[in-house]
This record gives sequence, structure tokens and C-alpha cells, in this order.
Amino acid sequence: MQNQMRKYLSLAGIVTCLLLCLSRSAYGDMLGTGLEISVSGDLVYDQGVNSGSKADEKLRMRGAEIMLYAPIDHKFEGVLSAAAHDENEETVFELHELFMSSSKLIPRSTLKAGQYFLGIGRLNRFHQHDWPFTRAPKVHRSFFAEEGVFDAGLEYGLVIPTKQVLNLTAGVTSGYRFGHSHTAGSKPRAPTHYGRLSSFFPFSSLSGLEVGGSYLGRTDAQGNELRLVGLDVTGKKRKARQVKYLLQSEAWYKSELSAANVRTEQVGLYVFNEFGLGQQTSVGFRLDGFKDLSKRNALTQKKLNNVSYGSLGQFTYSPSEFSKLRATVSHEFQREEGKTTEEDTRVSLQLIFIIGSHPAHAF
Amino acid sequence: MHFKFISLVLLAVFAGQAHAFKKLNVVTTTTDIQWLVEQIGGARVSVHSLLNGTEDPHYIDAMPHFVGKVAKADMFCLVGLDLELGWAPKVLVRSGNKQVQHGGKGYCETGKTVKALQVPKGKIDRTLGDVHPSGNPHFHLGPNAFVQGGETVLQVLQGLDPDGTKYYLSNFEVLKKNMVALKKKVSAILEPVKNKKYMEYHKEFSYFFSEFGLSSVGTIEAAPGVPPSAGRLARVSVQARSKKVAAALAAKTSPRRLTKKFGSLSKVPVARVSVSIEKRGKIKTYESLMTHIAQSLANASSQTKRM
Repeated sequence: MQNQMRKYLSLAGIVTCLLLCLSRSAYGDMLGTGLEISVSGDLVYDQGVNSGSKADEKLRMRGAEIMLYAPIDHKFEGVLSAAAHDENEETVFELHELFMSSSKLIPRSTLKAGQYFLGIGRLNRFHQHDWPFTRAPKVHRSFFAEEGVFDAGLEYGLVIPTKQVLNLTAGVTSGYRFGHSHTAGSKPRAPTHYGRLSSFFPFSSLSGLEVGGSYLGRTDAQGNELRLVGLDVTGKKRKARQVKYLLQSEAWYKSELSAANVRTEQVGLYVFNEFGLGQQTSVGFRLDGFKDLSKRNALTQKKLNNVSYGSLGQFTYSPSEFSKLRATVSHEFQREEGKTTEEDTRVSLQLIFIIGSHPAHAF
Repeated sequence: MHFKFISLVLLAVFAGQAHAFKKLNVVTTTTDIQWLVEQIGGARVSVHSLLNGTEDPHYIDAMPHFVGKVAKADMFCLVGLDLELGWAPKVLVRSGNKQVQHGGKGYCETGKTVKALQVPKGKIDRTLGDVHPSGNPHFHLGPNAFVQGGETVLQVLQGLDPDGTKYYLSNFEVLKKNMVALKKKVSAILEPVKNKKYMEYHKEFSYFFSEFGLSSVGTIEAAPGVPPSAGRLARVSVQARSKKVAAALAAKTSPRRLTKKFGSLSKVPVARVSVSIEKRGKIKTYESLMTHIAQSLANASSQTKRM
């Protein structure tokens, strides 16, 4: 069944590519449907610097995403995004998002039904090629997988009618699986339910600070309960085409209660700062921290004093808003009981491009 | 007796409410479009611009506080011709306000009634830069083109508020007359420097050059939205000198370092000007904006004589 689905999606991808071969104008005139097509490519090369590095030291096609969107009728819009990934030495072509949405049914509201990336936190709401850095911080990789959590369900967004900017997002998804899984999963006892409340503090028409609080819960088929609570902060100052300064940070707490009544807790955060150097260049720095609050020594069952740190520095060259070249030096290490147990220093090169429709400038 | 008194009071209150005039709440993307809507809508509209007039409207994020303002608007006016393509559609969708979204009766894309300049022909792709397929969107710096944009404002206002039709039409006629007078005033400023050659950093002044009969020999940018490289700056500076360019115009939002470099290489004076009405600046009206640009250009041109 999965293979059939993959073949089907591959076929859809080929058809899309053929459509892209047509000129934009001819294509638009031919259909007259408002169909927009956008394709993004994300290529990454990782080079390990120390012996403990897990860098794969090859050029990976990390993601090739095709996105199609158009009004369905006067009420609804439709979105399809599918991506080819390099996963465990195999290129997997999978459906990321397929949903219909409307911002014309309920005043101040948006509705989304189908499969989509859940509207929580910061990174999870953006496609990987739109992230301001190459690799997700450990907290995101651990709680949401390398790319993010998507699922099928219903999401509602409300612009709360208050003087202070307040936005509420709430959703329920099937919860058959969680994270970036390719299995069908099984029926959960409690589906994935989540919400995010955010506020925005404008400093000008080009700068401001957004603060959001998120919650996610799910109980799987075996009775394992998952709870996630997060805080995200994004600050940005723009001057014409240049982002002069970007602050992006998330802190997450995860609690799992197993069917056997064993609780595990983890906490992590990252803080990323980016400074525009010129019209086309920027430098960024990120600090990550992650701690397993319930990790125990396998023999003594005593709590292990453990912590993971990460840091990176990056340089980005962006000739236009449709392409980016990024070089990153990152260092991650894990310590337990005062000893370093893992170290990974690597240099990464990333190439991102977008062809097709103009990308949206999200805050 | 009490019943009659209360009934009369209630009647008076409701009758008053029925006749109470509620201004249309109009949100615009730029301050220039705000000014245009105010001229046509007059006392029947309350207009707010999302931008302050000091930004480059190409490069704006879909700021969350824009969404709340658009959510309660009766009408949304934008420049169009893909100028706000990166951010306005996202703001509109997130607002959940169907009246002001594309297809709604409060959606007002002023560019659609403008005879746009520089509509690209033939194959269009991004090797040409961040090109606008529907034509140059900076029409507000040409008074005639700006009035053409006002036709869309007029149509949308009439559709939303049919009772105000005569009022809006009358205001539109006044606007047209005022624009004719303004053109004469600006032309008089430019008359002494009319027969010279000019350049622009970005094609923001094409309508200005066209409507006032000024000759533009090109842009400093290599392609729209692409900052010039050192090589491009050197080449275009040589061209500017060989063609005896009198002055170059650049928006204040264009990169200062690059326009300064161009000025020093070419010895051509660069006038960095405001290209929009400013919410918190000295340029509060369209007339002051146009005279500011014309005077700046005339002053810069006269500097060439001294060099």
C-alpha cells in the first residue's frame, strides 16, 4: 500500500514537473484557475571535523518540495505539497500537506482541513527550506523529528478582537502517528490535540516581537501519554530588503507517562540571533541546550546528571529572496556525570532555491 | 404616561441611530493610496495606512498587527501590479475578512485601472530580476497615472456606499483639477532642467520622468531588486559620464553605500528623496511629495554645472 502511494506520488511529481515546463503565462491562460506552483530545492553537504562526528560527508538532496495552491471556489483554497527526501540512503517521495482551507466562512477566522504541519511553536509552522538555519536544534529533532510534525485533522485560527494583537490556533488531528513517521500508525486513545496563543508587539511597520505559547497532547494506542508545552519568541527588524536583526528562540518541555506509569521528562531550548551585514549577506549564531530530566543509570537507577549543548555560527549569502548559500560551523556535545560522552563538530554547506511563484514574506 | 415617554425616548434613540452616519473604515497598504482614498472619500471615510511612507513596499513582512487592522476594515486598498505580492495576500487571508479579500466588494486594487508602463514583453523570468509581469507599479509618482488608479477607488467606494455616489464623483472631479494644477507647478520647477539626462537607482521614477517629459537613460541596479555589484557600479558610472547624465534619483530606502559609491565614481549628483507621503515626516501631502522630488532633482542637476 505504501509503495503504491509512493508510486502514485512520484507520478504526480512527474506530471507537475511537466506542467512546470510550460511557460507561466501560457499555463495560466490555459487554465485560468489561479493555480500557483512553487518548487524549492534544499541541498546540504556535511563535513565532520572531529572523529566523533556523525556527519555523513556527502552532498544530500535534503528536500525537493513541490507546492501547488489555488482557490478551489469562492470560499475555499486548496494546497498540496509533496517532497522528496533523502532518508537513510533512500530517496522518499512523500505527501507533506494536502488540505483545503477557508478564510471566508467565519469572520476573523481561518479553517484548515486535511494534512498539514501543525500550527505550534515556530519552526514547526515553517517548511524546512524557510528556516533561518540549516539543521534543527536538538530539542526540535528530539520532540518533532528532523523536519516537523504533520498530521491529518482540522485546525482553526482566530484573530481575537482585542486592542493587543492576539492570535489563537487550535486543532485536532488523527494522532495515529506522531513526528515524521512513514508508518500508518494505530488508533490513539486520545487524538493529537494542540493549541497556540500568540501576541505581537509592534515597534514599527518593519519591526516587532512575537511571543507564543503552545500545548500539545496525545495518548497513543498503548496508553502512553504525551504532553508538550512550549514558548516561542521571534523578534525581527527589517530595513528594505535586508533583515537587520532576527531573534528566534523556542523552549519546550516534554512529559511522557507510559502505560506502565513511568514518567519521563525532557526540556530543551535554542536561541538564534542573526545580523544583516549588507544587502545580501548575514551572520548568525545559535546556542542550544537539552536535558533529560529523568535519565537514570541503568545499573544503579540513580538519576544521571546530563546535559547536551550545541552552538553554531553561520554565514549566509542571499543574492535574491529566491536563493541562499549558507556555510555553518557547528559543535554539539553531550555530558553525563561531568564527562563528555559525545562530541560532534561539523562544517555544513547549504544551497536553497525557490522557483515558481513568489514566496510569502511571513513575519 | 411613563410608557409614552419611554416610547418617545426609544424612538428618538433608534431614529437617531438609523440616520447616524458611519464612516467606511478603509485600510491601505501605502500612505500614498491613503491620501488618494481620502481625496475621493472625503468625510465619508476613515483611512489608515499599514505603512508609514518610509519603507520599501516590496520588502515588507506580513506583520501580525496588520492582520488585526485588516480584520475590521470595510475596504482594503493596495497599489497592486504585484508590488505587495509578498505580504498583502497573506495579511488578507489571515484576517478572515471576506469582504476585503480578492473577489470581495471591499477589495480595491488601484493598479488595475492604470495604464502601466514597462509591461514586459516576450519571455519573462527571474533572469530579468524581480520583475513585475503586469508592469511598473510605482505609478503614484505620475499624477495622471495616480488619477487613473483613483478610478478603482471611486468604483469600490460607490459599490460599498451608493448613497455617497454624487459626493465621491464630485471629489474625484476636484482631484482631477487639482492634479492638473499640480502638474503645472511641478513642471515649472523642472522647466530649467528639462532637457538634461537622468538616471534612477530603481525604476521608481519612470512615471515621474514620463509624465514630466524628462529623459532617463537607465538604472543603477543591474536588474529590478538586484543591488549592483562593484563591476556593475563601475560600468554604469562610466556610462553615466559618457552620456552626460545630469543627476540620478534614488529613494531614501535604496542602499546609501551604493548610491554614494555611484556618485563618487561617476561624479553625477545623486538626489536621495522620499518617494511616499510620510506619516511622521515633513512630507504630509501629495503636493509636497511631488514638489520635494522635483526640487531635489532640480537642485542636483544644478550641482553638475558647478562640478
